[in-house]
Amino acid sequence: MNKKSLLFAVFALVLAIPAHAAVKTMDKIDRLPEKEDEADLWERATSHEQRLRDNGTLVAYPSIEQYLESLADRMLGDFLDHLDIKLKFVVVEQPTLNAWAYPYGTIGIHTGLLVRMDNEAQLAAIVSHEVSHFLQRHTYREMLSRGTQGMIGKGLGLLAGAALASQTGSYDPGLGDFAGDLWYNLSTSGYSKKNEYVADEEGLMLMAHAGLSRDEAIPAFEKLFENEVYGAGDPRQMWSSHPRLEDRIKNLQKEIKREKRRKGFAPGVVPEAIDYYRVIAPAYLTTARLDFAEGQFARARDGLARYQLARPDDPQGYFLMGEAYRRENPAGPDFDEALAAYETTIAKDASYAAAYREIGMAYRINGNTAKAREALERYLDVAGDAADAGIVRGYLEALQ
Amino acid sequence: MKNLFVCLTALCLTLSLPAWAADKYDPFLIDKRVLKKEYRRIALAPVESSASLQMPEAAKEQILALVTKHLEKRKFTVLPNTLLADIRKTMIDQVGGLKDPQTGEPDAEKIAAVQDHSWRELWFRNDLDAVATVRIDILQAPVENDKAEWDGVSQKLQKKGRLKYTATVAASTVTLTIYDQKKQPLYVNYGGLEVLMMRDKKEFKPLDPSEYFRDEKRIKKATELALKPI
Repeated sequence: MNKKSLLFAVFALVLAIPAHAAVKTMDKIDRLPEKEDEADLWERATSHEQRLRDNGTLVAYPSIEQYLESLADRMLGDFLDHLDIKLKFVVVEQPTLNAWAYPYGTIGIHTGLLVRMDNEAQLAAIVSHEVSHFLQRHTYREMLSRGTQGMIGKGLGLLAGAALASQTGSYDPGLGDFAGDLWYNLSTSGYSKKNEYVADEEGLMLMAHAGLSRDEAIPAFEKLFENEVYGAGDPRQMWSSHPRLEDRIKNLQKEIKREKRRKGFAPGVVPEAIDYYRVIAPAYLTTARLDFAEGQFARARDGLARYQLARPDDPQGYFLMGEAYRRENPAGPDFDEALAAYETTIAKDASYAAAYREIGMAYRINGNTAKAREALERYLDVAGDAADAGIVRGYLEALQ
Repeated sequence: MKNLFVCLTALCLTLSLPAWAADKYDPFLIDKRVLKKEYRRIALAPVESSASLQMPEAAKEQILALVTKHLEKRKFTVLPNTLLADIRKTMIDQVGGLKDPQTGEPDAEKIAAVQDHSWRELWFRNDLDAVATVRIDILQAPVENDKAEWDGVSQKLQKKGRLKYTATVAASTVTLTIYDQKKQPLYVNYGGLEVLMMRDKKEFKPLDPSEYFRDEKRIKKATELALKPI
């Protein structure tokens, strides 16, 4: 798809929505934000993003952010050049599958979403959807259409702030302002039905523009249902809690079918999964630890298995795999899988102290005093100044 | 006419019931019957609260006594909080205290090590099914007409007069959580304790910490509310 046809498609989608006629598309404007109220919205959103940075919700993953930016560049080509705007990405350490767009083109993506996608095309399906929310200026449109309703959201904003507090451990009532409310309502319950469909369909076009297979949008969206494992009633349920997801998948299927009937349809490619695993590798480790806290050990192991494929020589992937087994079955006495993973960790890096400690702790639980002593002593040899060294010495004394 | 009224009332109740039922908070994260059947031996953890609350030992003991009494009445075997407290104390000594000897600041690595090892040691040494923790949390309670309402309780912010605007004030809540060995919550419930601010003319001002935890009735009610569904 060339730039002209992309512009035409964006324009056609907007024409189909009379309620949005007041807001021009990106190709019809020469600067952003266009008006004062939009500038105000951007300012509030910027301050919201800054607060998330300050309280540690947004964490820097430079290599992943760069990769996401290059993916967006491939989808957009030079479409935004006349506005001198470049899309940016921020990574949020959360195990859930979610993403959202700030009105100025910064897109937030949860590590949980990154690790559950099977390949670049699937990730592109979600990213392109968010890019489309930005291209269509959906937050601004929603603000104009919600108007006074939005202000009622002050209370809802506080709830959103509280929900955030439950994730970050710090409650910031300032997040309950209008911008915060809009963001969290949008990211948790979605935009209006029309805007979601527009973003879904435009997302497919953007995928095609990057030469990626649109078929992958279906499994990508189906994975959003997996948020259910994080508990009913959880404010972080995000997209999957929305009853329209099934409808949206059906609509995407229809749209893809229609595209395939078009003359000159290019199917696009499904890039190698392993290349994707490699580029997002750090997210697997982070999300595994988050999944431990949620009791999602099988999910943690799935991600770690991918990490091991991506970085077969990194002992961390094996150690965390051992942790996934051990934490799922902390009472033992069968620690075979955990022990095997810890042993592999040591095979990869003989100075990986924590693996010795966990081997020792496992043998201590199942009553193998000699092996427990041997491993715990080795731990102290390698990490005699560790924070818990005194505690481990206490275990050794008791084992005598 | 009377019949029509009864019918309309019944219809209204029927229509409103599903929405009400959907909104009701369920503290049980597993089936209540499973909790009662499979998690019979529960160890208590020491009460935790923010340092800013300066919680007196007497208040902690009162809460733990109430929790013990309630759980025992429900036929659970309750192991005292001293089991975990003693393990923690020993481990804190083993790591040389929780503060960095150079800076005097809390040492995050040591704190994490003691938390993790003491949890594991509690389970290693004792025959347990679950651990119950009580935490005093601080939250923002909504205020309307000079009355704060949160987590099943309300509290007036001024004895005389009435300020008619909505606001939020800091308040404390008893959070009771029961965990399994994987540290997954099985039950989480709350009981509103007390406001931490009072109105002074047109402003809300924080109370002095010496004013907290004075009202034993409020402590009792908060703890009972958190326990009630069990």
